Amino acid sequence: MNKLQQWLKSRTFHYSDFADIGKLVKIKKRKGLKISLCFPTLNEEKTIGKSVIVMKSELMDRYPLLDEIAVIDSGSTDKTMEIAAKFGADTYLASDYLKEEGTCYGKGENLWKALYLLKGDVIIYVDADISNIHPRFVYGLLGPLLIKPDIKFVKAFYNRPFKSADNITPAGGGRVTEILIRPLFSQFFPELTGIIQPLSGEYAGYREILTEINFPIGYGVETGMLIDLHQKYGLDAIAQTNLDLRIHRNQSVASLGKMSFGILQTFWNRLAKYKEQPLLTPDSLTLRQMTSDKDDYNLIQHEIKEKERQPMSQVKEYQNMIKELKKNDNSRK
Amino acid sequence: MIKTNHPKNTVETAEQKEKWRAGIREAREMLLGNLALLAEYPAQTFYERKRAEFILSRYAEMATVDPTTDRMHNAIGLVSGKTGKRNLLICSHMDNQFNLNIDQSINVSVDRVQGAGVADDNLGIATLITLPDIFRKLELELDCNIILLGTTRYHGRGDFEGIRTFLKKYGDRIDAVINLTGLSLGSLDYFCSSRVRCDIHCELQEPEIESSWSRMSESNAILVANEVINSLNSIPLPKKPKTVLNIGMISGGERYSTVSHDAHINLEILSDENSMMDRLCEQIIDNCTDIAAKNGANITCDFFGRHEASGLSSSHPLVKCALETIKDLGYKPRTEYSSTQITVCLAQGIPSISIGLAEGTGGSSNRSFIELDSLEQGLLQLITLICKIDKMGNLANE
Repeated sequence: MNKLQQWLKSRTFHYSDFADIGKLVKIKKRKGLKISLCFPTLNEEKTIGKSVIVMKSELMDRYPLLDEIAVIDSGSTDKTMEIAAKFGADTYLASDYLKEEGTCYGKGENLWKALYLLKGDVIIYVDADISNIHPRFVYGLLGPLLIKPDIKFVKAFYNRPFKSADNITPAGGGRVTEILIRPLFSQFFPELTGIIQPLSGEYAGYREILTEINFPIGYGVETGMLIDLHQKYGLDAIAQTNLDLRIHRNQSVASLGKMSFGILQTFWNRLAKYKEQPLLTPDSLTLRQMTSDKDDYNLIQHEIKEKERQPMSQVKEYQNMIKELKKNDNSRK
Repeated sequence: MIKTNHPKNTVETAEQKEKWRAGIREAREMLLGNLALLAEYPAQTFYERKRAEFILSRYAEMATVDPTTDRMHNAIGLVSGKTGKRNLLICSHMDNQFNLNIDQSINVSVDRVQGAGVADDNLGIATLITLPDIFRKLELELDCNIILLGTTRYHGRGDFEGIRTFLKKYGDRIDAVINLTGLSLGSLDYFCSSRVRCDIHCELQEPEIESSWSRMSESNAILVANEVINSLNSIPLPKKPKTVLNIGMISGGERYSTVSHDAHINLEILSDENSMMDRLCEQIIDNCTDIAAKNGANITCDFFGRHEASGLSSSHPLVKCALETIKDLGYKPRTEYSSTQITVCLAQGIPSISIGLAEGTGGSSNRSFIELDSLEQGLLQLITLICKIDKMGNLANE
């Protein structure tokens, strides 16, 4: 726990730590890095135009931080690609590339093909459905990668705008994270419970590590990526940045069910890959959840041992009681 | 007597205009980026501080702009000219009437930008803060100083307090003013009527029983307000000088079941003749006094936002130059009484115009939009106008 708490302190950032974009540009130039931004899309015509405009105007035209902005699309039937191209993004239809590898459809497929299509040494992935898009979604993720040499992958997390009755802000993720991922991580990969929002769709990493891991093509891409990077490069190669508020479409419970189903498959695959006796005994029975007080993030632990009661019919006193009742019945007859 | 330098002497060559168009096209994304980011800083009138800080940070990022602010949180940026002998103020208001519950995020499609506040007037303020970038792209170096001013407290009770405060300090140094509004390309304001606004508050004594059946047949504040409205409608208004009394908003009451205790009427009087104002204000007060006495109510009339009729004529070089620029772009100029903040500048004798930047539809809903193609024309209009004014001689009022 101490190690995890220590990691939390040294590897958790706020986007405002990196708001001096000019400084990031200097570091990028000094290191001779190319940086690519990828928007994976499927029917995002309502938000893609603004996303491309904001990133291009602020992080290419005003500050030359990004070298390319690309949209990799799963086959939108709306004007996503047309709008993205009009405002200066490079657009790719995922199914047109790497055909010899077969065709799959899903966000993970687009992220995977980005490694083939984009030129950057650093790749930043940002979902295209964010209505309050802002340059911080990029520089907040890039900052730790450029400034701390041992950090290779950065994950976003966001403020959750609600407070509990005792005025403590629950700092965790959404419903799927808190109901599915966090309990699973707590049991099988406890070190990963320090990641505040493991399912967030925004992250950035060096090409050299992203090209060495599998990419689940569907809902499990974020979960699989985190577990693989952690296993291969250790927790210290991973960091996280608070990007403040993220406003996006809310998903229905049915969609979350589908998402959970996909994530579970990825998770079982990782258990089989990394655990000697998968599924038999959890490594831990401590659930770790997040709280925050302003920017101070803390893990709280709950020992949760699920005990089970035997069938009532096997309880001696119950058996005696039943015997007694029957006896009384018989004597009345 | 005014010394007129005919603007035709400074008409830009076709080649130069084409170069400008290309530069404007390049800068358009920066403008749209600013438009998108402005939506992240809500700025309801009196609560503009965060947006002002964003605008100032934008100025600070540009080496050519010297940023400063004042007690009204106006966002002021100075772009120094080569000679700096004259000061051209380019302004737009940063506040709007949207509370935090209104989603102000924008949606960009192939041919339009849509969202609450985009057209009126976030486009104006976005253009203002992108101007130094446009100057840089077009490699424009002007003789005169350009003062960029994002003003606060424009709407309603704000009563142009932002620009009033700015002009109190710097008014005597301003040679001309261009006010930027989102809509509509081709519109040109350069004169205003005399105006006064009035908030009428009708109030009844607090009832002993909140929902008394017996009291419902008696007067209530809404009925009193109704009498006030009838009396306002019965005030004779002359056609010459043209005078208008507009009841813009009403509000009052609390629930279906209660006798209304409060009602408000918000109105504006406009006239070509300043002297009409005192007469009309007096008549409104007299009418309200009578109605209050007959109904056992308190009625207060709060007059504010008064300014005198003033303006330029179409022969003024600034107006001539603007009319010609609009015509050159293929638009028919539309002139109208101004209700923008240039009324304050005109009242101080500063040559001032207000122009629109794009075609589209305004309003407070998220159906409000601007057409992207027209925006390019709007920016070309602004740049042409600035360059022409820069080369003009005397701009003193007639």
